[in-house]
Amino acid sequence: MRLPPEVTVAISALMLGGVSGWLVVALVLAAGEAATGPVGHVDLPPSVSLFLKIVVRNMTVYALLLTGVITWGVTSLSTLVFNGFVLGGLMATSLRGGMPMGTLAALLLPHGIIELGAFVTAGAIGLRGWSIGRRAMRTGRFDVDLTALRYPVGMALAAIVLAAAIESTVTRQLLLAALDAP
Amino acid sequence: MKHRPHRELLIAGTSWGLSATAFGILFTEYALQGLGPDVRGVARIVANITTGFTLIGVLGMALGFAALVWMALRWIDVDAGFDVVVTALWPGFAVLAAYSAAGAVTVWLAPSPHPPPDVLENWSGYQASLMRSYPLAAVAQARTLAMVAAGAAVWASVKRRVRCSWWDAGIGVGAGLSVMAVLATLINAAA
Repeated sequence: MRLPPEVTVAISALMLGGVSGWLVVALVLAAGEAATGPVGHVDLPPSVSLFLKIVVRNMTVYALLLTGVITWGVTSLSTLVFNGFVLGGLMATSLRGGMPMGTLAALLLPHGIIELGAFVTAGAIGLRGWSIGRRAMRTGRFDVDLTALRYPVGMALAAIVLAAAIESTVTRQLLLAALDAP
Repeated sequence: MKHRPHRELLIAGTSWGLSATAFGILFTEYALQGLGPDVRGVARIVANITTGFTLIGVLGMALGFAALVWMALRWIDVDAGFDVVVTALWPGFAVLAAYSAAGAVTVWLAPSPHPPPDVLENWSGYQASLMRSYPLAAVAQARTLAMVAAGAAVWASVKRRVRCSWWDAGIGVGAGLSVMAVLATLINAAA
């Protein structure tokens, strides 16, 4: 199966950001420039308010990724790299703080696979802006075929809501269990 | 040489992005003065990486704004080539580039601040307080003036290049600005 070039670029941008974030934060922590340690008491909001908070945050990222359609893909690319960077930095910080790799995987994977899949889809749609913009400069018309985009846009939106539901329930319980464990 | 009608916009957008990034980095370093190295490490990375994305974000904003103005003009039946609209927008971004560069120079020349002992408990409040005191207050006060001047420059430039009425240019530029403002507000509210 051959992936569309926009999907490949979106995955690469996310991974590039992730590796960069991991390396930068790990190097800073290793240099001893910042104090870090095991996480103690954490106040987690109830599932419903946590769900709403996550949905709003992820919808913002989703909207930013889609704005690439009118910005030649520039905002999609930067948002993908930035979110990968934050995720990589978060993973490096958690491991440095003593969190076992298995626990980290259990906290990230259940919702993360769906969420990142949605972000890659939205990012790939935004990256279409590159060809749309180039064609617009050639023809003088900035035409976006919204009909062709409605299914991937809708599927990514549904995936974001599903991922938020998993994160606010399953991941929340896993995090509480991990914090209670000795 | 190959004709590149979007070159002016890219040059102006990149200039704005670079000067805004310079302002952000200098302001971060300014705010970090007087703090211990353990605090500076992570705060500097987080702030500067975020600021680094300003450059890319501004470029995207320049291109996105061009698309929105073109769409708004098409919506009111003003037929303008996309390349013409793109070329028309650079004066506004040049004004914003000059404003950000002036802000960066002001931060560079500003006297060192004296952070309170509990600065980390309210870091964003501390940064906001810096922008309210002399000489950085002048940067904040000039922001509205710079945005009005940039809007007027874009408006006049669209009117001249697209050869439409002032009313048409106002609707096109106004609609683009409105969408940008709504998007920025939503993003800030969610952050």
